[in-house]
Amino acid sequence: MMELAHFPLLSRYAECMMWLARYMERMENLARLLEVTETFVRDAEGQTAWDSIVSINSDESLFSRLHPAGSSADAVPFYLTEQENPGSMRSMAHAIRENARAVRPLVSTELWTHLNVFTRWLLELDGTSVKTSSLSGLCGRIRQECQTHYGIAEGTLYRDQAWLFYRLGKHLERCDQITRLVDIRYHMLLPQGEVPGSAIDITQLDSDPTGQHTERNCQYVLALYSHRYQSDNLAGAGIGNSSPLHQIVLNRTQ
Amino acid sequence: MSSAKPHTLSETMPTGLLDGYQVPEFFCELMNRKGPIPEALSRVRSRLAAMDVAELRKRTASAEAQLYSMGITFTVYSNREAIDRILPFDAIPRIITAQEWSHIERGVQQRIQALNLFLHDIYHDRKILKDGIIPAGLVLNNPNYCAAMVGFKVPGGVYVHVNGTDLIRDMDGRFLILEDNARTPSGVSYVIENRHMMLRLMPDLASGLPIRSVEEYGPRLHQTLCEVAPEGVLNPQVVLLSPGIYNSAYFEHVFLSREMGVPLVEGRDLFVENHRVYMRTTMGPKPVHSIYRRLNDEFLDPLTFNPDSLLGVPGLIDAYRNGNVTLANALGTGVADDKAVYAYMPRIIRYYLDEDPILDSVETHICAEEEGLAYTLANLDKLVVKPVGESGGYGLLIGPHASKAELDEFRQKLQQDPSNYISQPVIDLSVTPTLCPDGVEARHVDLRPFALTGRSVWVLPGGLSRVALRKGSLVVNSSQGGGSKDTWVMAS
Repeated sequence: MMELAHFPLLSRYAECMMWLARYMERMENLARLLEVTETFVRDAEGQTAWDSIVSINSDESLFSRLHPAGSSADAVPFYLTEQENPGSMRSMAHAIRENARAVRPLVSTELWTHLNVFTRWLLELDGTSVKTSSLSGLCGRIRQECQTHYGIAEGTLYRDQAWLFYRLGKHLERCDQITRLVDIRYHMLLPQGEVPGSAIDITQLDSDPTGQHTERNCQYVLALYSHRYQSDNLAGAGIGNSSPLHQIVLNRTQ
Repeated sequence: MSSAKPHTLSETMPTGLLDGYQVPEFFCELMNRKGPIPEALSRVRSRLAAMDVAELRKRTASAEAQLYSMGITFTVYSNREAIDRILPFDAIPRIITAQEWSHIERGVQQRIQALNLFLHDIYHDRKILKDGIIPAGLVLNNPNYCAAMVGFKVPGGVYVHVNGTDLIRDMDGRFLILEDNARTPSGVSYVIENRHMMLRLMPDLASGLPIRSVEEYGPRLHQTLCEVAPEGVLNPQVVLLSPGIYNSAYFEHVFLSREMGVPLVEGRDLFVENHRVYMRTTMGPKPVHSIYRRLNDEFLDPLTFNPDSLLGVPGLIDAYRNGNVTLANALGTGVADDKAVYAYMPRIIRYYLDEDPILDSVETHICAEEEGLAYTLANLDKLVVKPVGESGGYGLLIGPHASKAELDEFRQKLQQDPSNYISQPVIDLSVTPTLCPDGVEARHVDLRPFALTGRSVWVLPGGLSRVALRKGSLVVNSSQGGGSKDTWVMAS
């Protein structure tokens, strides 16, 4: 029997499968971040926590343009319903929907039906009505829908090239998100003189319900970084022992 | 049940589905056959009579929610927002007996043979024009007449591979052809999805009845497209060419490509090199041999037609004319389903096949002709007047339903541009019991059977039954408030 992965795939389908998976992964991550940050904000110590989401996503310039005098609480509608923000839940729901529509001939009816209902719900979300108090429940549902999606994808997609591109997109985004997390963790902690393992540190890692997984993932990615840094011998180019990532790597691998 | 709210009649006393049905004077598919009840109908009728309205309403609501969730929808775009609409679904099926179907089937086959012979003739020898059967100007000056097709031989002589024939029934139940759709007819996905929905929703109604299956359509369509592929290609690559996700019929494009197991492509996925068509894949260019295109002629190739079109494939017509790719339907078929040419179809059938038409047409007056215009103007309040170029039920006048002002306005339009119009008597369309806000009522219905033509003509045993949901309305188009029903063609 010929391997399904040997059948050519329309290039556009490959692209859309990759982006579909990437956006789903990104959406789930954002839901985790928002939920964790919200928990954080309740604590008097964590007043600046909303800012860190903006930095994690490198959205500083867009955010300050849309909210020149904005308080950090503007981050919630900015990440939920802001149409100008391509990284908001709403914009991602739109992107997921259009990509899924394009690959609809390839994917199962279940996969499409679920995304159809899920994204329509997100698109109809009214940003002003989302109170901080209900944010956690909202993010919880988004995460659950994302996980349902992965389950349907795993259970119903053919193991063909479309599947490979789907996985590529998902893992590419996961790597991206992990490096962002690692970077921001460093960015947040060092200036304040905190040490790894402090309350803030732990909370960030807790954005994954099993913090240990994140930690393990981090170590994996950091190991990759470390390997590359060493083999490329970049120390002389100014990215040596003083590099934040490098220091974290040393911290973690000790 | 100890609810405090007052009980309505239907809650306290389950009423039979057909109890309150007012049998109309029109031919009713189920309740007023103007003759004895065929055996095939009586069982459905007694099963329906045993159901109650509240239960049917519940099932219908569930059906419509499912259609919406599954995205069996047509999409309307406005202000960058996509609005998905379902085609309203009515759960009371429309039934066609075996005898009626065999008549329809033969009639549609005959009609399509004649359409194909007509198209071949007008793009080659033009005998029918020389013999004066149909005015040459009507054909050659028709906006849908395609100069690029003159003298070009299409594989197997087939122009119309996929055809939808709109049928209506008159006061006596006689089937009449209202319109041919020989360009890119849509709606077949609803025929099949309606059946799936119906079997999920009303298993108790369908159980054990000899209903003919509609599942064969996808494989048959694929087979047809393989049959008409360029000669010498052993394993033709078939694709469905769609305008893309923004097209209102995108769901149907997805559905058909899945049913056939072929890629759904857009113009940008294809390119032409050395007069051959290729699609862009992850493993490089792959040749394409047969294209089921759901794109109108004028968008297919910016080099030949509309230079601004981004939907098409530059060089496609060149590859087509070199015989390296088949387009289904062929170019230039729009001249055959034109409303003005329609008036001549009975003569066209007699001319090529030397047979009488099996299915009658609606008597048609051509306003481009002096007599036709005079008759139309004199009887405007009794006629349906249609613009010849439009489709989708737009721009037509239904004389008996129009106000004096509307009639006057239309009279002016007619006089200014008579050749743009035809007129027909108002046909008292048949009705069928339909679930309405106030209960089960009679609503007008039409029927669009779909036919595929490769080496022979095959008619899908079923069809799209469109219902005019507004009381008294004769316009069944989905854009004008129409819904649909499952159509059961009985095997016996």
